[in-house]
Amino acid sequence: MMLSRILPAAIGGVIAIPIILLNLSAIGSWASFEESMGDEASSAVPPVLGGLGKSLNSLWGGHVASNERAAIFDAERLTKKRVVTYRRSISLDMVLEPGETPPHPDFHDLFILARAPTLSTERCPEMLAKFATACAVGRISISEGRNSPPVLSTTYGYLPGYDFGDTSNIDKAELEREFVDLVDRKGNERIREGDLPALRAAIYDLAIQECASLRADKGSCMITDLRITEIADAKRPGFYRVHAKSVMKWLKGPEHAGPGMAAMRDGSSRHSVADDATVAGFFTKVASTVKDTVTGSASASKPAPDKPVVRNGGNAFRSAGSAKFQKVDPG
Amino acid sequence: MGPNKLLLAFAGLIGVAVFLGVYKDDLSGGDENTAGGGDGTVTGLVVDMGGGGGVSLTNTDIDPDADPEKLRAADMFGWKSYPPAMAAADDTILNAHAVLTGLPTKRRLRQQPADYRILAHETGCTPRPPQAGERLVNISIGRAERPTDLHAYSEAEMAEDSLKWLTQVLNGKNYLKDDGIVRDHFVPVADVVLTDRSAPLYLVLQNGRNDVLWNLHAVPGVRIAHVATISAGTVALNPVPGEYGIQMFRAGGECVPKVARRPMEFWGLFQREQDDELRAIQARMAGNHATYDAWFRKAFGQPSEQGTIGFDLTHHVLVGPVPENKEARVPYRPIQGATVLITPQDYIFTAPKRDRVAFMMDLQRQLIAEAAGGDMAALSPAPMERTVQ
Repeated sequence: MMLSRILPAAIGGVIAIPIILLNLSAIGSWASFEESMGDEASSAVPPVLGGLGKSLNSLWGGHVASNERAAIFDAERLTKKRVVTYRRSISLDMVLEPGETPPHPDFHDLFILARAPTLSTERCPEMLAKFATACAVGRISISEGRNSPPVLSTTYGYLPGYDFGDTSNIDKAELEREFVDLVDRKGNERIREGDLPALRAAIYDLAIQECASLRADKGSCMITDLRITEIADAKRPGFYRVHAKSVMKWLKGPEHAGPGMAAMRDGSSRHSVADDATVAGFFTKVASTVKDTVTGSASASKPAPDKPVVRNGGNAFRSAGSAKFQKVDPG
Repeated sequence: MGPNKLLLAFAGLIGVAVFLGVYKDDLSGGDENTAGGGDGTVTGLVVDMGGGGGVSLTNTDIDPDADPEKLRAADMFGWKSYPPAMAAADDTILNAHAVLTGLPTKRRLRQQPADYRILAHETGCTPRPPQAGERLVNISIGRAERPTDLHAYSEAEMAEDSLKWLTQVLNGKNYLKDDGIVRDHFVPVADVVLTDRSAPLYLVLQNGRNDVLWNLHAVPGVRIAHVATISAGTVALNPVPGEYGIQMFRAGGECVPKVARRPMEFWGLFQREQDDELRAIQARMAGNHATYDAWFRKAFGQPSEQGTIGFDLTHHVLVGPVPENKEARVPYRPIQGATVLITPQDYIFTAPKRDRVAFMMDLQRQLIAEAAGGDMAALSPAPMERTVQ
């Protein structure tokens, strides 16, 4: 018995070790391997950047990938399984302070990227006002457009501030999902820049409403990826193309597998909102919600809170790692 | 220690033995690099296994008998040659071992100059004209690639490096090393061996892309009349002793056009399946060449392609006859320990990697902090929370 274990290990070692060493050398990683094994290199470079990447990644919580359900329905921890993805056109002017001298063109891209996290926090107060009890800037990337300004993509983690239903069956249940178009992609409408905040508020409300409807039918619902895109129209300065869609997920358990579930499985209710929000529906659905929002009569699954107060520190929110909270006036 | 551990240790020893057997030559320290000769004593070269970011050289690099005709292939913009290839007159190719002794051939070898002196770019647009009786040596390469531990950084390059690093950080890439923010910007070396004693030589050293360190060699009896370098990048020069002028011209501006070879049919640019994009590149390169040729004729009184020596990717260049026999070969002139001339740059290093990286990390951090508005904490804003339900 012992020999049957030892022999493969020995053979594996004989084969693997030289191959690993040869490959390290061949792919040019020998140097880093050598550094990692040596004392000199490890003490040569001080960690002056303070593990920035690690601190950003720690915002995503510690859920293991295999337990997606627990991550999604954990209302106390941020997770990359429950996010808002916001894409917008970005320019240097948007990140410079008023009156700040622009840097040399060689530094434009770096300035834009380095200030994108702070710029991205501007969206958090409106999320906190509508559907989130906490909001954290997670991943950020910038893509270059060929004939258009660069596009900033920010992924936020959030804690749900809406009723996501009964999760008592979470251990036995399976996840199901639905894709919802909140603003139809086929629409050719352009939105004036000044109308974007109201439109986003309407989109949040719509997502909450859709999730509330699903919760009523399925027993639970979480908005796991709300995606909003606002791209500047190169031909019409001051106007934007807007798209929005969302992924909703719920727990499918025996106690909630009613007729609605059967309908979902055959796909008949997929894109149910898209049916309403086609080209014509863009204004009938979203614009009316904009109006409701502006007049203060929008309905959500949970009443929108009073003007949120974002406080420094905070006892209510316990699980954002060691990150300190900042004080922000949500406006 | 149990039997499992014993056997695994034994397996490890065998693995190490295999590795050492394969790379014995690399790990030995390079006896040929300690050979003496020439005006510089070739001693104390360092085989830097920790350089990182170096180029992978082919096995022919260590083959002094490699067939030189097998050491080049047509690439997008001309010949791409492989060590130990040496470019010579009339677009011919040699094995550099036929010309040089003590040639550093080790993988990842990085020579480190002892010091540098700044030589400012010429402010005028016209090089010293060739004088009667001088022979114009027209060397034009696309690029070199053999690394050295002479590094030159512009702030624009530093910003680009910071941008790449920050892009990975903010995009959530795991396992980032802090020192990954500092990238190598070595000045690659191209060796120029002068064996032409027929007339005083006026060297015109041109490179079309990137940076280059021209490492001059001259056999006794060679006379250098003048050296002019033309490049859009950082240029360094390890000059041979002598009384001659050196001018360094910055190409690519309004004064001196970018170095551009005449497009040739054998280039990949013409051999690949043609489309509008390739045709546009061909037209642009032809235009660049016409502009450069016109400037070259005015500056030197001959076409830019007359007697040109050099490949698109070049490691060594020979100017003059091949040594008649092995004993007459030219001792390699090391960069290691030399004081080189270099055009101005924001940061220049002749230092081991760990010192350079430690220094540059601090600068890169300051650059990012400034870009972020003065505080690195702005890169990782704190979460916000709602406190009114």
